[in-house]
This record gives sequence, structure tokens and C-alpha cells, in this order.
Amino acid sequence: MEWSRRAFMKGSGLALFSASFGGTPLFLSRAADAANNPLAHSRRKVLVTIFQRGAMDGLMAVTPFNDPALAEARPNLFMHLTDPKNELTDLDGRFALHPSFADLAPLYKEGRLAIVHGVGSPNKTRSHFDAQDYMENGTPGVKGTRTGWLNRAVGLLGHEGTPFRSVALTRALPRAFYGKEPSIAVDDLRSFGIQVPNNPQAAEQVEEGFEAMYARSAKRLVQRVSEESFDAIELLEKIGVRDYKPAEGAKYPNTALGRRLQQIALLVKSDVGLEVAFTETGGWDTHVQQGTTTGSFQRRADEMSKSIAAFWTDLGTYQDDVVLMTMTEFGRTVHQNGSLGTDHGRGSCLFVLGNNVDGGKIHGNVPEKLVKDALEDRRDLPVTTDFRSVFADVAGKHLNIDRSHDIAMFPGWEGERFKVMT
Amino acid sequence: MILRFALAVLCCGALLAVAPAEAGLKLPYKAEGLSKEQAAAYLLERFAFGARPGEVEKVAKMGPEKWLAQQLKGNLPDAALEKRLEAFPALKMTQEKMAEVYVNNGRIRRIVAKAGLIDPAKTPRKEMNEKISAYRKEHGLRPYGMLSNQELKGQKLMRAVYSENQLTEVLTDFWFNHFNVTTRDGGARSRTLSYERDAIRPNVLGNFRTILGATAKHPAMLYYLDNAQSRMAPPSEREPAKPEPKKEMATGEMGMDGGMDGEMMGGEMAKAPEKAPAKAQTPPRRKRKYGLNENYARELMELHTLGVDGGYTQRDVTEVARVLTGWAAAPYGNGRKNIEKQMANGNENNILQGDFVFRKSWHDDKAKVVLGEKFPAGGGLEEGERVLDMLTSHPSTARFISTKLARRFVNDAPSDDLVDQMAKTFTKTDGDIAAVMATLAQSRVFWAEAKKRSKMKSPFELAVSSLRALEADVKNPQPMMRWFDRMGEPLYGYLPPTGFPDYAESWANSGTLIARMNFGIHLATGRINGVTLKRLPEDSSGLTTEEALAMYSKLLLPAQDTSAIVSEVKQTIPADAERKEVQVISMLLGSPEFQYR
Repeated sequence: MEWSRRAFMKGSGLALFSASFGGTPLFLSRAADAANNPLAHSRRKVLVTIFQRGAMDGLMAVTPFNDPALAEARPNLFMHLTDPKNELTDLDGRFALHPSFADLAPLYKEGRLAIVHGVGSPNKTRSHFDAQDYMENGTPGVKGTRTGWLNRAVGLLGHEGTPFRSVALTRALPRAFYGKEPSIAVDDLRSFGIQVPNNPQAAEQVEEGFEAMYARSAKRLVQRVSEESFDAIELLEKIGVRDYKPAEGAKYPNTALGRRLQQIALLVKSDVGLEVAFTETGGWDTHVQQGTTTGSFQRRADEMSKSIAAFWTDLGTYQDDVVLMTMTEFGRTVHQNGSLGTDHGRGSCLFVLGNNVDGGKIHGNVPEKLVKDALEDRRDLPVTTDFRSVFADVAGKHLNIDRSHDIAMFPGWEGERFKVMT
Repeated sequence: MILRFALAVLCCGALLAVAPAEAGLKLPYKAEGLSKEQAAAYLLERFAFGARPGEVEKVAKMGPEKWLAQQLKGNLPDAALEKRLEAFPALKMTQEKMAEVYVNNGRIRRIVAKAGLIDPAKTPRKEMNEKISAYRKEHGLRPYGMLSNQELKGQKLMRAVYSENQLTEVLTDFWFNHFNVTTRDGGARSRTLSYERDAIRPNVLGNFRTILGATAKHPAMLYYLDNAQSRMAPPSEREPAKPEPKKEMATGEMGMDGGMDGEMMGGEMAKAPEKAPAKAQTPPRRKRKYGLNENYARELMELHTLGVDGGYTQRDVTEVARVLTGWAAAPYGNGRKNIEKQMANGNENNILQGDFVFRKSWHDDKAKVVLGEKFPAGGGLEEGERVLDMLTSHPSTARFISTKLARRFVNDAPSDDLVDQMAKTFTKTDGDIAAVMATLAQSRVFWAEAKKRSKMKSPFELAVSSLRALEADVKNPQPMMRWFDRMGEPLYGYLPPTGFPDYAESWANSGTLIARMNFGIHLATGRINGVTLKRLPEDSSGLTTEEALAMYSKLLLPAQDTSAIVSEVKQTIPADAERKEVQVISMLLGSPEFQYR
């Protein structure tokens, strides 16, 4: 053990500085003072987004269970409602939820969960990279856009924010967050702080050392940023990120997504000023042996629905403040391929969850029969709803961004918002 | 003394003819109140990735001018580096060979299925994976991710730490970022190693026109900015299109990517639709999409040459895109052989140049107007070359490139005066990069910055300068990569064509600043696997805090007044702490001072 706790505790210089820190985090007191910030210390509206990377098969997640054309196109992947083994949840007589999304069914029935089907990008690329890039920069077909749509949305909120205003629970800053509004991207909030391997006690002391050193630095930029950083660390400690106990009945799966949503719930419930959160889940690229009730799709769906359901339960009275929206870069081919999987397609579906959502409905437009002539390029679920029209409605209504700003949120888009919020 | 100087001039004399810019460098550091040591240390921070132990003294002794002249040539022997680079076999392969050896899961599955060893629809996953990995071993096929993760990123770090030709590495970092592509793009991914090796590094000190042309024609760029897909319908297109053989199309995998969680992508990515599954359907009439794609043409002017306010219009973008139709990536295998055969027979439909091919049949051969100049019909490949010439000699380009270089090497907001001087050199020498760098190095403005140290190190610069100062032995570069991710600079992972922004605000945010401090702690405490520090004894050195501070502040912040930082750090080290040197190094590496150069 190279960092001796005992040794550090005795460090005489440290006590001098520690007194001037602690107490109310500086950014909060600053924010509270700011006259133009009526929201300081009050609850804020929060938009939580989950990117399903790899392209989810929307036709398996929310399946048109009595379409004979789909049954024919997918001899091994079609799920019949009548087969009890499938345990589909009939949503509206036409579409059914995959059994591994069953945890979301009650939310749908309560009218909090909406599904938009046939959603996607006007740009026809079937490259994951390009399609994700476009969905995150919010300008399909234009690669050069410097900023991400969520960063622009944050810029349109019209009030001051805290360092926790925009948080991505991801390893690297997601494209959707690129831009001038400050964001935090961290894989695990518990690792946000000074880390001394094998010696958490020493870490506190080192942290104080750095804090003092930076506080007196003549380099104004890092001086300011470090102040925010250390305030943020302190705040995370205060809200107990390390020993957070979710609310009764919220059973997060012990997976990356489960942990990330749990940490987002904690931020929401701690009133630290979170307004936009982002996280992601991978492995939806089911080219081979996609499976039905078991297999790669099923495992992903199971993790996701359990995580979201636990998140929602965990929020408790904060549910009114939060809207959660999922997204995926495109859908998959209507026909199964030679490896019992599906290939890159076009339209997919997304979920919007919240108390102000026009839920309990399947929005959007899916052809009555998925025969070839009804498909996009004779192979894919047609994109009938531009993802921007949904994102603009959800972010716009929930975060109170005026319609007139939609063009700033999605440059070059002049469409109408797709009504999915009440 | 005079004699020695005369000799040095004489020695350089032979080279004068080829590279006039390097001769007779006058570095006005004295005028800015710097000693020779201080000048050497500053040069090593700006024109290198930081000083190794003893290097400041060495450069001061040989003379900063001579050192810089050597760096501007970039041809010092590099045996120690070469030895370390042997760990990266791809560096010696052609692009086509890389495509053969580094195969993704989708392709290997098809290969192994074809060999009759598995049935992707039936073989259980576990068995399938075992069969596949056995097949890989037997046939010397390496996982696809190795190429862009282990080898590409690993060699970048090794070169930056160990190369004697430091300026070449600094400029490779600069020019790659200027002409950014990313391994997160399926089309560029497997070609990025070749892109840096073939299009960027050999040209970083040469002529701007050369590096511009090399990037314009490299398949990584052609795919990343979609020019490979920008094509006119051939005259015969009025008949139903024949599907293009596009087997070689990148079907990469996103797993293990620096910027993304390991399992995030899971599967294959393809720019082109996958090959239709063998049986399922009658092949859909996949109409080849013809049409202009303006992505590259736009960024060519906005980001690579003129700058956003450089005086072009949307009309110019479209016209340049038309000029560049037919600029495509050379196919592999038989496709390539066929073109070679055609060319040998005097058929000029396709012009092959290395990994680039000009496809006449995809080219829009009607007349065009670019930046007010008329291009008569039928200009072919040459009209693209002419556009690149025009862009190189455009005054906006001289200014734009000079501004970016000055921002990297001088400060975040370079003065107009300096940019003017550099732009003048750029224009006078037709874009000689070494000459422009020499102008920068000889300016008073550059040396006036020495005492301000206002340029924030990028995470890569921070890490590499740490490794160099502490004489690290990097046995395995891989564990370093997650630190670049955390500090906000996933290598080769910046998605938009702008490249990473090069100013302090973009590097310093709450998360990444803390990550910088943690990086220093982990390095000093030996918690970055694969990296050992020769300047840090494994057992306690028994140094007092003062001794450790004296020693390591000199290594990390050489030839600088470190009294303030020394007293800052001293207050953080308890009198009875064990291994004070470890704590001293941690605090110094994470200090505000060490974040700047």
C-alpha cells in the first residue's frame, strides 16, 4: 500500500484548506443566487434516453401477430399468439409484445407507455455507423454537423444548469452530447472521483490536495472546471452513490444497463439538476440465430425491459418529472436470413414512457400485410415516421422547448411534431 | 565556436538545395528572455511530445536551431522504435493483405461454413465459436478488431513515445486530425492504419498538395465521407443496372471499440446492404443508387482547405462533387486484376493508382464551373487534380492551414500577424509545410508564448509527455487506451470530420479533468499494466519530500521556475508518508502546471 492513510491523515497542510470547502456545493449556492434561475433547488423535468445500438428488430419486439405475410417471411422467427409457449402480450388485437418485454406491459396498459412503430430515418443508409451518427447528430444525411441533438436541446432550455444537467452513463461522450453545453460522460458514477488503487481513504486526502492546488491555480479554466468537478464529487458522495438502495420493489438486473439506469434514478431523485440523461445498450445486431423465446434477442429484451421497469418503480413520486425514450438506428429485414437471423433494415419501433405520454397505444403506421410490395425496397419495414418528429415532440413538450426552436434542435428539418405526448 | 558554427553550416550545405527552409534557422528566444535550456525545453514541449531525461541539456548543447532543423527533415535513424514496431505485423501489409488476414465474425462464419465445418443455422453457438477460433488459428487469420484496436492504436502510442523524429509524430497527430477519419466508421475502419501510414505520415513535412491528394485518394477517406458512393449513372445506366461486385465492402464490427462499450454493437456493420442470404428470396432488384454525394466535396473545402468562410458557395460544393465523381477505392482480388489487365490493353475506362481508382464510367464528364473557373467537358481524372491544385493555391487555404498550425503550436487564438507571416510562406513555397513550420518557429510570437505555457495538452499529449519524462518502458500499449477514452480523446474515435477541437475548453470538463488526475495516480502507483517507469525505482528510494520534488519537478517541468508548484505539492505530502516519490509524481502529473505546455 503506497498511499498510507495514516500518513495522509497526519498531513498538516490539508486541514487548512478543508474548512473552506464542504457545506453546500458551490455550484448550487451559486445557482440559487442567480436571479435568472427560478429552478434552482427545485425539481426539474428530465428526459432519459436509451440508445439500442446494433438495430433492434422492431417486428419482433412489437409483432403484428396475425400477419400471414410476416409468418411466411419468417418461418423460424414468427411468433404466433396462439402458441402458449410464446406468451405474447396482445396489446391491441394486432400487435403483441415479445414475452421478454412483458415487464413493460403493465405500463402500457396503464397508459403510460406509448409505442411508435415504423419509425426511422429518412436517410436510407444501412450502415450502423452512419445511421447512429445521423440519429445522434439529428441531421440525417449530413455528416458534418458538429453538435448532437441532445446538446442542442440542452442549449434551448433557457435557464442555467448544474454540472449534472446533462449526464451520459457511457464510456465515452456520445455523439448526441457533442457540443458547447457541458456534459458529464462516465461509465459508472461510483468511479467519478479521485481513485487511489486499493486505498479509498488515501483518495480523499489526495483529492483535497488536488482541490487546494487547483483552487489556487492561475490557470483560470482548470481552476473553474476543477471547482465544479470537486463540487460534483462531493455531491455524489452526499447523495450516497456508493450505497444507494433503490426503492422497494425496484429490482434492477445485475447488468450494465441495470446499473446505469439505477444511477440515473438516483440522480433524478437527488435533485442535482439533471435534465437530460443518455445511456446505451448493445448487441441488437441479430444476424445469426436471433431466436424467439430464447436467444440473443430475448436476452437483450429481457435486460432492457427489467431495467426500465425497475427504473420506473424506483422513481416513485418522481415519475411525474421523467420521460424515458428509447431509440435504435434502424430496423431489420422482414425476411429472415440463411443464418436464422435478420439483416439490416429500415423501420423499427421505439418506446416512450411517462405520465404525460399518450400511452397505451401503438402510434405510427405499419402496412396491413408485410408483403413485398408493401415493403421499403421490397425488403424492409417502411419508415413511415421520421425519428426527428418523435424526438422533437418528446423533448419539446417534456422539456418545454418551443416549437419555434425545433429547427435549432434539428437543423434542416421543417416537419411537424409527431403527437406522442399528451 | 565560430569554427564549429561554420562547420555546421557547411555540413548542412549539401541539403540546402533541396530544403531551403531548413537552412539558417534563427530562433529569437534570447530576445524573449529565454536561456538556451529554456528554449530547448520549450521546443521539446511544442515540437515534440515532451522531453526525456537529459534531453533538454542535449538539445541545448547541440543548439535548438540544429535540433529543429533535424526535426524538420524527419529522417533520424529510429532503430529502437523499429524494434518495438515489430509487434504490429499489419504495418508491413498492404491494405488488401490486411483485409485478408483480419476478418470479422460475419465473414469468418461464412468462410468456416463454406468449408463445411459449421452450419450457422444449426450449430450451437459455443461449438460454432470453438470451430471458428480453431480455424482462425490454423489459417493465421486474426480477429478484425485487432487491426484497429491493438495495432493501429498501439503503434501510434509507441511512435509518439519512442520516435526520434518527434516532430513527424506531432504533425502526424495534427494532420490526421485535420484530415480526420475514424475507425468507428465501417468503411474507414480497416483502412485507417493504411491511411495514416501511407497518406498521412510520409507527407507531414512535405508539400500540402501532396498530403491533400493522398487523403483525397485514400479509400479510408473515400468511404468515410462517401465519395466512393458518389457517382453518375454511366451512359449505359438507362438499361437495368448490373449489381456492382462489392464483396470487399467493410463489414466491420463495432465491438471493442475505444469509444463504445465492448459489446455495444455485437455484430456486423456494412455500408452496403449485406449480400442477400443465399436462399431466402429471389434476389431483390437491388437498384444501384446513382447520385451525387456532396459530403466529401463540402468538407474538402470547409475543413481541409478553404475554411468555412473561405469563399465558396453551395454551387461550388455541388460542382466539386461532380468533378470528383468516379474517384473511388480500388477493388481487391480479381476486380483489381481485371483493371490491371484492361489498362495493359490500353483501355482507359479505369485508372488505377495504388489503392485508388478513377472510374470513368462513374464520372460526370459534362462541363463545370468551380470557384469561377471553367472546366470544359471531358476533363476526366485531371479535372479533380486541377481542383486540388486550385484549392492549394487559394489564399484562403494558406490562411486556414496557417491558423490551424498556429493554434496547435502557439496558442488557442493565434495573432493575425503570425498567421499572415505563415500564410505568406505557404503561398510563396506553394504549400511547403516544413517552411511554414520554420516561419512559425522563427517568429517572436511563438517564443513569447514560452513563459505563458497557455496551451492545454490534449490527453494524448499529457500521457505521452508523462511516459517520456519518466522513461517508461511500454511493453503493452493496450491498457493505456482506456485512459485516452476516459480523458476524452478516444484514439481514432472522433466521429465528425472536424477532428477533435484544438482548444482548452474542449479538453477540460468535469469528468475529464478528474480522469487526468487519476491517470497520473495510476501511472505513478504502477497500476497501468504493461507500463513500467525506469525513473521510478520499484522499492522505496528513501527520498525525502524535498529531494523527490527536486528530482521529479526537474524531469516533468524542465528548465522552468517550479518553486510555486513545488511548494504546492509539498503541502500535500505528509511528513511520514511512505514512498514519497510515488506521491510526488502523482501530484505533479495531476497538477495544473503539467496539464499545459
